[in-house]
Amino acid sequence: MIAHGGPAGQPAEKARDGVLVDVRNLTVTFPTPGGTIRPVAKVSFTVTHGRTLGIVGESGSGKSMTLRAMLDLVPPPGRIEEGQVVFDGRDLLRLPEKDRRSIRGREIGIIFQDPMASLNPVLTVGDQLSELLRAKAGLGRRAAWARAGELLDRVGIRAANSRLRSYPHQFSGGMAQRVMIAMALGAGPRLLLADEPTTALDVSVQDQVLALLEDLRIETTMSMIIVSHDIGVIARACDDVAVMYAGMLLERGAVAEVLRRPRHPYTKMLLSTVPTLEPNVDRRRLETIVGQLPDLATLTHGCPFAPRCAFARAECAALDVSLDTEPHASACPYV
Amino acid sequence: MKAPAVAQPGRLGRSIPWAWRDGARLSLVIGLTIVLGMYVVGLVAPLLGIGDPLKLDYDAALLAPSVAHPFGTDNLGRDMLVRVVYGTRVDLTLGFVTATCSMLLGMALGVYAGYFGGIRESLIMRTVDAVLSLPFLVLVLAIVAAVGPGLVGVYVAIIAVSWAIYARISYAQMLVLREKQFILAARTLAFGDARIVFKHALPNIFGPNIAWLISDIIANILGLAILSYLGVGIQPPDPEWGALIADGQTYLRTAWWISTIPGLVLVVVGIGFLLIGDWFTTRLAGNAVARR
Amino acid sequence: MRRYAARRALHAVPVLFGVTLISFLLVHAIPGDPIRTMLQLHATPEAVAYWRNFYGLDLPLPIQYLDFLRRLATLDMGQSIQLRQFVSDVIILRLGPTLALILYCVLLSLLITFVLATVSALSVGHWPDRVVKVISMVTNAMPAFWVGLTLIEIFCIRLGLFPASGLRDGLLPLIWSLTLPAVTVALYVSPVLIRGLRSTMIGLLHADFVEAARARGLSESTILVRYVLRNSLVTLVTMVGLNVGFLIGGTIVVENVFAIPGIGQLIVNAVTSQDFPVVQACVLLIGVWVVMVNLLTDLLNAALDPRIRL
Repeated sequence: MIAHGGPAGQPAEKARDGVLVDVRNLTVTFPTPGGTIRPVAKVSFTVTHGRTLGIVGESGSGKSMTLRAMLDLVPPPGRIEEGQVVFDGRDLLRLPEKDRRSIRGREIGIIFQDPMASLNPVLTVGDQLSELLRAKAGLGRRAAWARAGELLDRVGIRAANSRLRSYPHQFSGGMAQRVMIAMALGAGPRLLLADEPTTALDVSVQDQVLALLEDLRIETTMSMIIVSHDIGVIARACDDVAVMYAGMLLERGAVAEVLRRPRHPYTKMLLSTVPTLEPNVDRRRLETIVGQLPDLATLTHGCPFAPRCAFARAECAALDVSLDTEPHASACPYV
Repeated sequence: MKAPAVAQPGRLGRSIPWAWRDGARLSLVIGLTIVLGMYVVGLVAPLLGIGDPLKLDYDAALLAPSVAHPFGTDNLGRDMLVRVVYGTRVDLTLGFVTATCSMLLGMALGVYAGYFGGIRESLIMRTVDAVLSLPFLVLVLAIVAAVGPGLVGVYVAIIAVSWAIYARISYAQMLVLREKQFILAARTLAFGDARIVFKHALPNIFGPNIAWLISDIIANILGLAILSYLGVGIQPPDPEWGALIADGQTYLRTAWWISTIPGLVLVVVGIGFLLIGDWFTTRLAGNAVARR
Repeated sequence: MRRYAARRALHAVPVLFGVTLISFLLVHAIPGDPIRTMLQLHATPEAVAYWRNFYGLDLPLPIQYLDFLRRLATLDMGQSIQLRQFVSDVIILRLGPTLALILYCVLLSLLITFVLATVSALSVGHWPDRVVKVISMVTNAMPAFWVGLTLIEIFCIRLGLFPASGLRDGLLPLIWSLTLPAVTVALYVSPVLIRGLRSTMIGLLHADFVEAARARGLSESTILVRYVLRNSLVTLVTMVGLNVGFLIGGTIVVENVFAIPGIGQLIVNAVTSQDFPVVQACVLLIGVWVVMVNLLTDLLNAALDPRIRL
């Protein structure tokens, strides 16, 4: 649960129209032998009804942990130090566990990176799907089984009804991910969280899964948060994007805007590393970003990207990192 | 092997005695104290003149534990403490001897099978499979039946069965090592097979074998105790812990100490070996990690 | 599944032959003249001639073995020297009590293991886990027969709750008289099982698919039963299979402590009197049991875990 109490119920300011999820100052801490680290540090963003937010960043930037923190699933010894996750007017982090558990799987769905590892190996896919439907959609045994077949069909698995009797290890990676999607969507959630949904899949299958997600989004008007280190995935599937680095958000805005006119130095460099097939571009060298992600235990004050930033100056070390209030927000006041 | 546990004078509280430096080492020290302590006492018992384990004294039969007889006396008036101490010699000696012999025999066969392969490998390892497919006690009983009840029979039977696990452990290690660089290098340098085996392979194989040895010693001691209890191990009137427990069975109601105390001694020795074994496996695992 | 079962059963055949081979070779482990050693005081010329013929010791070894197998097919194991009865008759009489005891032991062990391992895994680092660990360690060091005697002392002699020896007729009295023996063996075998199951369960509690199930909002009790426990069954079954040798060894000892008229008592008496036909037959019987149990556990595992049937 949350480290210290706070007001439950209505947030301080009036709920903004059309906002489904409002995450404020979410902070996760982890004790390590080298000191306490903050894999997620004062992260704030909102997701509007019907739109998709992408969170992009390198491995280890805290993206996955952010999703987990939203559902209060941070594995011990980590814990949520502060922050609010206001969903539908209620702060998820301050609800009793019973209510949170009821929201998980029903109003908020989540799919993970490795679909094979996320399924119970000794139960059939049909068993797991209908178990979820009975628990979350209140269906009876037979109705749940029938609905499970429909869901599998909807996510593009052929011969759905016989597939219900198959075990997870009999599916390929791509099909298993479709099963996960079916499970996440089973009870009709209004928000879907996707943690690196395509990373473990073959390139050809990635495309199919993304197309499926897009179809479902349009059909159900649900919102999504997609976390990925692959900018291509974000570019294709999201309306808005937030760029994360060392646990902090450095830039946020509409996808088209951010990709075309990145403001933060980190985003600029991130985008320049993407290989392109554009004409008239020198393709002989692949760009890289100098240096590595900082060791979170040694982070002190200031901008975490400063050591690797081409535009860094002395003031960066004392900067209080936070996004400005523009629609296309950046955490760097100097660039 | 053990350094004296002395803290530096003048720096009390800052220098931790060798024995207590960490929990694992504490286990080792306690375990060794129990095991070696008891064994040494047992070995020097005749010199200590504590008494004669075979001496009958009908007037002192079935006496409860007291200052004169700390472990009481049995139905023939023999002092139980003396019998337990003399029993230590029999039990612990058997434990050490059978386990060591089994280990050497098993290692030799396992390494041989793993290194040379082919039909020698099949023959040895299929034999190992056969021996390990039957319960330890059953095979031991069968061999004792053939050779004849008595201490000699027990020694033969236990060694004839125990070697198999060491062979399997050593064989598995050998298979892994066979492909390792330094063995291949030694081969290309045309070192003789024997030299390769002895100098390069064996040191790496000892570890898991010794880990098993430590638990094997107590298993073998328990084997002797069981066989003696059943009447096919040591023959009366010689003292042995299992036999003592058997002696006391008819007197459970009136003289519980005859059976209970030797049993407690067995448990204490067992815990001693367990502690030593824990230390060893922790150290072995630590070394494996460090070597990576 | 059926194909897997057939394949597995086929693998058991050579092992069974190995068991018969060991049983057969036992007689040849006897130093000196086996016949005279065996017969000792009963060594009349007729008896010596009968047994020499029976074992065919003058014939080459392979022929002896084939002969042995042939007699086995008709369940002819010769006669008990001590009891002057056909070995097969003697064994059949004693099968019942031993099988009943083994069944009771297995059920009790499974129950104890399951409960204690679950408690332990759910409370890692806290006192219930520590208590279970200490009890396991201490019980592990206790010899089975001593535990049996101690239990007799406490529960029979002082408290008078159970009979100290023998078997009673009737289903309930039978269970009552087998309880202390079964508890003794269960205490003997359980520590190893608890250790293994506990570590498997601890690993499972944080497995990816368990975390995913939590993320889907399934209740903790559903997760515990259908995700954690269900996936640890395979480990439990495997471990029971690996330890069946200990179980049988413990049963033999306990039968002698509690004077249960089963195979365990039979084999010990036979060893004491060097009654080889009986010893041979018992070894064979027990070997077959072990092979059967291993086959059974493999099949059970295949039924429990669909990934194994590949």
